[in-house]
Amino acid sequence: MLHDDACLKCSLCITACPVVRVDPLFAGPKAYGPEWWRAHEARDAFDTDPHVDDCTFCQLCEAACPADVPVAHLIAQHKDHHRKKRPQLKRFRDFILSHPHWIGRLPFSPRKVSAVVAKMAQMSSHADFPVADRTKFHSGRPYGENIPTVGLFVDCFNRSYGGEVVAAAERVISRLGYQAVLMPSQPHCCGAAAYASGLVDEAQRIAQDSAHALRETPVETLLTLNATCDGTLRDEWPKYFSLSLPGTRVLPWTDWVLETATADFWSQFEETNEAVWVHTTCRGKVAQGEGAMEEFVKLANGQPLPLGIACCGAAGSYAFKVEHEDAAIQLGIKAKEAVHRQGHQAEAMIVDSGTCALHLAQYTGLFTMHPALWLGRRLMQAQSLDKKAEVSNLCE
Amino acid sequence: MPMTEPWIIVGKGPAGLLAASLLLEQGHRVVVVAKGQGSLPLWSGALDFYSWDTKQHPVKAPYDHADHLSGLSLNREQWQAGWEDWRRILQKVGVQTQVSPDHENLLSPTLSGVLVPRYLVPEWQYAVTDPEPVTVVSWDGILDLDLHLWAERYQQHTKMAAKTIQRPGPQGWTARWTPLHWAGYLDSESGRRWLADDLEAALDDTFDQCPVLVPQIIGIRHTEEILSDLRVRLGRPVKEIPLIAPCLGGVRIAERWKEYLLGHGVRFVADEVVGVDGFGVQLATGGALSGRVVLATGGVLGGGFRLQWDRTVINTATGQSIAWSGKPEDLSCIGVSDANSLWGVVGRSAGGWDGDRHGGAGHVLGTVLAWVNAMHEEVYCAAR
Repeated sequence: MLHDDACLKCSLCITACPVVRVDPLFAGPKAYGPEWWRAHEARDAFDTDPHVDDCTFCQLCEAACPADVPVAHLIAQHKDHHRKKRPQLKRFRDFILSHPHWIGRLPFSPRKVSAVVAKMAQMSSHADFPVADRTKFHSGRPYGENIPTVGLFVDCFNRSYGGEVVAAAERVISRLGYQAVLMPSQPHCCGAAAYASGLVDEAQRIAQDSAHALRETPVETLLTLNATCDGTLRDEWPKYFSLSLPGTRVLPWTDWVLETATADFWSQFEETNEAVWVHTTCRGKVAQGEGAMEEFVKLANGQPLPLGIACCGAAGSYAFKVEHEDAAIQLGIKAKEAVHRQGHQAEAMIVDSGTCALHLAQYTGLFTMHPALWLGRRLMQAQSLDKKAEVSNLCE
Repeated sequence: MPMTEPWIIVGKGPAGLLAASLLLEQGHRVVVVAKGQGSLPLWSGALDFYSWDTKQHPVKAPYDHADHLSGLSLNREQWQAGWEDWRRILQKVGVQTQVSPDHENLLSPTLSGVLVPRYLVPEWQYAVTDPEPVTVVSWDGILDLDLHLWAERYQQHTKMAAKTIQRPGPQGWTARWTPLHWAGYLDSESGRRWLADDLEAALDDTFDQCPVLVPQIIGIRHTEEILSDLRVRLGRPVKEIPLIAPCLGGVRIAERWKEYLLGHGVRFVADEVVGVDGFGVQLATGGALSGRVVLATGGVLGGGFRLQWDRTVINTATGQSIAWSGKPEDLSCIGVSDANSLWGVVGRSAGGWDGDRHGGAGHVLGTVLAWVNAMHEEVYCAAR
């Protein structure tokens, strides 16, 4: 790539890295990305560093770079080179975890992995795992010809574990006068999980399948429910996989709601000033920035409390792997500290990633949920209040 | 959602964040658009202006040189009030600063043991009005701080004694630790315990009243708490010496400042601005934002200008060419603060200000104040 060799050694990437602050053996993004890459290109070092795998692939390093070096993607190449030196069992585990759309189809989904299984499969016995959500959402065929349509990307996580989230997102879309086409029709993954583990070629294959499936239903607007999928589809596909969705604008569901909803829509939420923590995931910060979810909460008459941490440590399947237990726990503790430090009274937190929600719930003890679910519930409250008012008006 | 038109600030270095904070205080809606990190982590955290005169002698009373402000149409009162505002904003974001009671420069140490004039210094950093004997403690592996050299230069410059103590690093330390690794470790419970025990073991009764200086690695989130605990435990103040960039001081300020702005409804958009006009900005990813624009790009990292192969310079945000002499030594003096433009420009050279000589922070503040004044004048005219 054009900027692979552009590192100025300013070290700003290190200041953005959440892992160097908790992992004494992780040398940092500059060392594992551009410095490793230069040595590797010059063929004066074929060595890889086992701790390169401690990287959560949050990409905050890359977003911090003033010289456009694809720092995180160079680290992914480093991981890929190191992969061949890793034990067979871990490679196999990573291969499976790189296909979350397969895992979602398993008939079981335990909250915890028992110690024996954890040891056998090199998984963490400490982390919370997602539990299947069998809430039905409709199959994805448009139901009216004269109603404007938007695509809703049902990612691998939400397809299996976030039925309620998809249903709530759809409900809000229809309240705004649109119909949602849920896509792709079959379980697929954008490739983010494989890329994060350094399975670069596999990520490309998975992304290709997914792009193929998405092109079956051309839409002008495709809404994403998870910032990682969002950044992967919109930014990484064209840049690293030469894939695109011609004619389709990809944007987060939350941003679309902010763009589309009128003052009338927001006025139905009663003034409760319910405080809610907001965590924009690391990949959300990279893909879109911060503050959109806060704006969203404010408009719905809630009081947003930004959590103020970089990466919670869940990072997709990162926290599920036994060798990442320490770093994931330390990052989780930082989230807890952030809640404690600010001292606000709020019981819920919104976050758009399912795995981050699990991890944050585990460490902060808060009730974590997707913004769609939060807004969907507020909408139901608003509607039931409306009904009550109607009934009492009739009685009078 | 129809709402009042927001201000769009391009860039999130010190000028961008300062402009955002002032607008926020005046009740405006603010969106910050920035690509990259912003230059704050490249700052030590100390904010200075007019530290050296033309003969490279330290300046004691920077306000005596207020003539440099005339280029920005600022008078001494506006200037002084501006510094107070900045200090107050830093306090709001959770950064306490030290300032001399007489509005003179404080003296604060560099990495090589020289005390240099600084105007506003964060609480964690060592700063005094008069030099005094000090004890400096550092640990193996902090290569940027050479204790022997530091003490030698400090004594030469100040005629005061400097006692140095070099200690081994903690268990688990590796040669690849950067100051960020140290800070992360010292922010943790175990790191804090180790630091307090190690400092207590290191210090004996000599110089028992004088302050203890340590390299700037004392945590990110818990710095002030750690330093004040140490003061209680050791019975003497413990303060930091800033290391080379990226500096923990700037990192702490940047993180807290951003968090404060986010908590007050400022939105940060991660994108690159590729076009500016009277209506708003166009973004590299294809979108656009409408609002009144302030360019706060490129004071330090050069994000706002591109030097082309043919030696012409363009403003990356507007696409306009910038006139310059073509001589490399003039590159740093290029300014685009144009009174007739449709957008504000802050943080860049203007009014003959030389950031190197007159202070980078003064340059940031001066341009932000000049822009604020211009804006007020405009509102005043419109109201009439």
